Amino acid sequence: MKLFEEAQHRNAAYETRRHFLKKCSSGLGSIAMGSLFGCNPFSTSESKIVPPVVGNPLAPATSHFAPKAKRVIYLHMAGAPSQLELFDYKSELAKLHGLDCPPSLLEGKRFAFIQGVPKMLGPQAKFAPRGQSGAMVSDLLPHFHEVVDETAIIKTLHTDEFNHAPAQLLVQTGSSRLGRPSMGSWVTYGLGSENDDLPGFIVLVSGGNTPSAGKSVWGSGFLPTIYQGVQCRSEGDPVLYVSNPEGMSRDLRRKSLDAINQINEKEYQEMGDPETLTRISQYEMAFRMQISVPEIMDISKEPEYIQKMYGIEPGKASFANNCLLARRLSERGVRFIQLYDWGWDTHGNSKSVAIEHGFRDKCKQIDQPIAALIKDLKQRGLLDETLIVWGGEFGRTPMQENRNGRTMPFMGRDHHTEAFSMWMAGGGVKGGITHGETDEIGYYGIKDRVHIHDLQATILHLMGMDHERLTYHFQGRDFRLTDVAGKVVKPLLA
Amino acid sequence: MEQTTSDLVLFFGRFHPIILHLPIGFLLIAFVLELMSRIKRFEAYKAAVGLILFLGAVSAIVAAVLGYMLAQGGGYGDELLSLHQWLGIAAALTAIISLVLNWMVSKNISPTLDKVYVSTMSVMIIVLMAAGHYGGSLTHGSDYLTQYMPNPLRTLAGMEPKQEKKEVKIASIPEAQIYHDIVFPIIDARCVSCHNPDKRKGELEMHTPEALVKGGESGEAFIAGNAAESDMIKRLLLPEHHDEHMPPEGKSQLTEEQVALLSWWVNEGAPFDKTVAQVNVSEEIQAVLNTLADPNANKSEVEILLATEVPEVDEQSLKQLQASGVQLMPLAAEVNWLQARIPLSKSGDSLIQALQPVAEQLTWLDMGDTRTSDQALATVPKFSKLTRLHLENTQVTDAGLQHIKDLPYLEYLNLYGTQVSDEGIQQLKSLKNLKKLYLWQTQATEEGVAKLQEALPQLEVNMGINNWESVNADSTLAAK
Repeated sequence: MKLFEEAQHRNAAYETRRHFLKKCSSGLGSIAMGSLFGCNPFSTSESKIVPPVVGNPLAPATSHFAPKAKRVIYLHMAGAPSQLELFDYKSELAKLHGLDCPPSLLEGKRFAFIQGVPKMLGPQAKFAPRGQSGAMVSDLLPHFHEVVDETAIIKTLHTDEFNHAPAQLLVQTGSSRLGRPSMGSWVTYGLGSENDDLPGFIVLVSGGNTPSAGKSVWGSGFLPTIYQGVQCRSEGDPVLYVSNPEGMSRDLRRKSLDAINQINEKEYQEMGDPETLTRISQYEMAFRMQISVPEIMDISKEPEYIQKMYGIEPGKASFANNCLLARRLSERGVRFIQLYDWGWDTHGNSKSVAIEHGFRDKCKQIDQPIAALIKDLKQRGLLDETLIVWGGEFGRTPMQENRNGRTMPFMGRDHHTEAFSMWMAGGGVKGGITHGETDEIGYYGIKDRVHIHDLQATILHLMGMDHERLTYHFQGRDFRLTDVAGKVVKPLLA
Repeated sequence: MEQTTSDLVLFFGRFHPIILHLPIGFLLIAFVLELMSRIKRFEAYKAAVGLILFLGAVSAIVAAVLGYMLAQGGGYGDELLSLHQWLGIAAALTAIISLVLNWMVSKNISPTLDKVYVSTMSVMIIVLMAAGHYGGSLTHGSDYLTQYMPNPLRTLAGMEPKQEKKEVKIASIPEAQIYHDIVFPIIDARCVSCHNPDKRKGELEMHTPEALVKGGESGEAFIAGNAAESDMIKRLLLPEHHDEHMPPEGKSQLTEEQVALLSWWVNEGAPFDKTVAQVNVSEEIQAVLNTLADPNANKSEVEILLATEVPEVDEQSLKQLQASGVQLMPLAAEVNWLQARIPLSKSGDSLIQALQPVAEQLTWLDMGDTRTSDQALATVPKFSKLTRLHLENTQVTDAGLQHIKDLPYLEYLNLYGTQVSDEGIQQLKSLKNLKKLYLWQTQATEEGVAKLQEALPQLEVNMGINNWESVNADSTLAAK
């Protein structure tokens, strides 16, 4: 009897859902029809213009309208830098420094750490008008002053999440929950890659840690995994196992790849799973990367004045190195280059995360390389078609953090969702402007508020894509980066 | 006389448009069957008429009651509304009378009674049609039916031939009447269909200056000189899903430029008789006004070029060209303009020949970082629609630049890392549309560039940062 049960069990295990669905062609025909025609047969939304069903899924694709930017360098300061010390000068807040926070700012609000009644915290940096545009930027970013006329500073970003991981996910994937494709994945899915020898979406991390939300912030979610971000290391081998193991020659590798590809192609013919295509092209890409990556990632070959300009530290994982790498990658046509720099969570509970100490060091670390990146792209004629985005996942409160109701040993600010600053430069962005305005203490945007989804819609727009049309059909409905929201911020467009 | 209507009345009132089609259908069918039953073949229909008339009369009463409730909400022109109301009531009454007569006729067949019965029914149908027509006018506007009537029919109906309604271009901006030529066309297109004597939504009419000044239910439509406080402007600026946003969600919205024009008009005191020259015009408004005279006013020659249509390249030749090794693709979906890129490992010298079949469509050409030389540039003048040309890090020299001077639309030229010099770049003086020129790491000098910029004042030249260390020292000093 046991033998019979086992046979039954095995049979049942074999009969997977896929087989079941395959057999029930008539009964489930309607389901198939539904997925073929979608919920609305008259829907005009075209998800992708040239769906690469067979062949290279990373082949360059046509955008919805003529793009301003061909690629993006996204600089994410993980932890959320304080806008009140960098871009959003509030003289009124300086006057209120040290006074108790009025209850109207606390009622009905949730904070990550602030408890009871905190004190107001005035700007901890000196501000002055910079550049021809006269944008107020603090003295913490002296090199940035030289390129401020290239940038559009947005002062009224706001988000829905006040904890790092969900907020990072919202900025990068359009949803605060796990499982959605990141912006870089959407862009490479929509536009493909210009360079056959490199992934379309490359991620570089500095600051000693990956973002709190983990690698999901550059994941491909439900998009085929070929579109996920490829993390390159800026010290040691840029990509692990990039060189051939001992006893494996390049020819032998080619031959084994050909054999594996043949098997995979057969598998694809039978099952039609796009992940099989992904696997084939990933193997091919890895093969080509063996030659291209070590060459591109070797920044020691850059002339000395360029190295100095960025202030690189050869052999170390630094933000400066990553900025130089970003330029090299954008020169080679990499579509989306995402830099994460960790260590911007300035609560003031220790010296390294104090606004008057650690925060200043962080600013110093990024200031020169960012200015160098903008200038370097510009002198190569790349800034016109490369969009640079800088920002964190939320802002910091105008109040001083008082974790557990106690005064902290250092100056620190809590997480703040209502108003924070980001800037964009290059690729079709109007330079030398400031968009939006916050109230007298920088607590709330009072003019031209910009939601995270609006920012995403704007970035896609600059890349030549309509954020409402860049969709992917998954689990019975179309998904998009901006969910059901997002409006292109037109004043930012050149 | 402020009267508030209970929500419940308005709630049921909104069902009027749903119910009203029932009496129209029932009563019409009753009439048709009654007439048909007089033919011997269809005699059997007679039996059904009574029941259908009954259903028609009941639904007519319900529709009339609901209609009365709907009218309590206001927002309709009084004259048209009362006409529709009385016709509706008349239709219900004649339906009831017809029902009674039908019952009497079935009891007692008298020819006189029968005549009365049929005449009543005929009146009922006429009244019904009229009520329906005016009801339609109330919701869709009184010219709804005739709006698209062909001119021959119009002449038959004794109406004025239709005026060709095309975008009227303004000949001279300074002489244009602000209200008549600029503001009213916007209001007429977006507001008047709901704010007119027949359909006075919010008690507001906007079809004449007098009506606009009078305002509506919530007071003045605008405060002359203060757009920010003007109800009309405030509603335009509310988010589209907001209940008080105008025009209501789902209707055609005003463009940002149109909103800007209306705000400007109100801010300038909402004059009805002034010309543009008589008021202040900011730079932004001037830019919008320019587009009224010429839609392309604010566009560069290159933008106008790229907005024009070019013949499509058939897919097969495109595939063939791609197979030759050039990366060739459309500028965007549904656009026939093309962009091409020579792969890094190849040279433009040979591949550019392959591109000749698409010379008319090619507008972006990227030969940067390739082994391209002056030889390739000899072919470039054939690509007269080029707007962007990448030649950075190629073997191009001054000799090659003479071919570039014949690209009238060239806007972006990247020559960094080439052997070009001051002498060569002077040949670019004829490129009236050139906006950006990159000359880092070339032989060109500040003097040479200054000379070129004399001829092309709008040109932005980037010479790069050759002396980084001194720049760096300066900036550190400045920071201190």
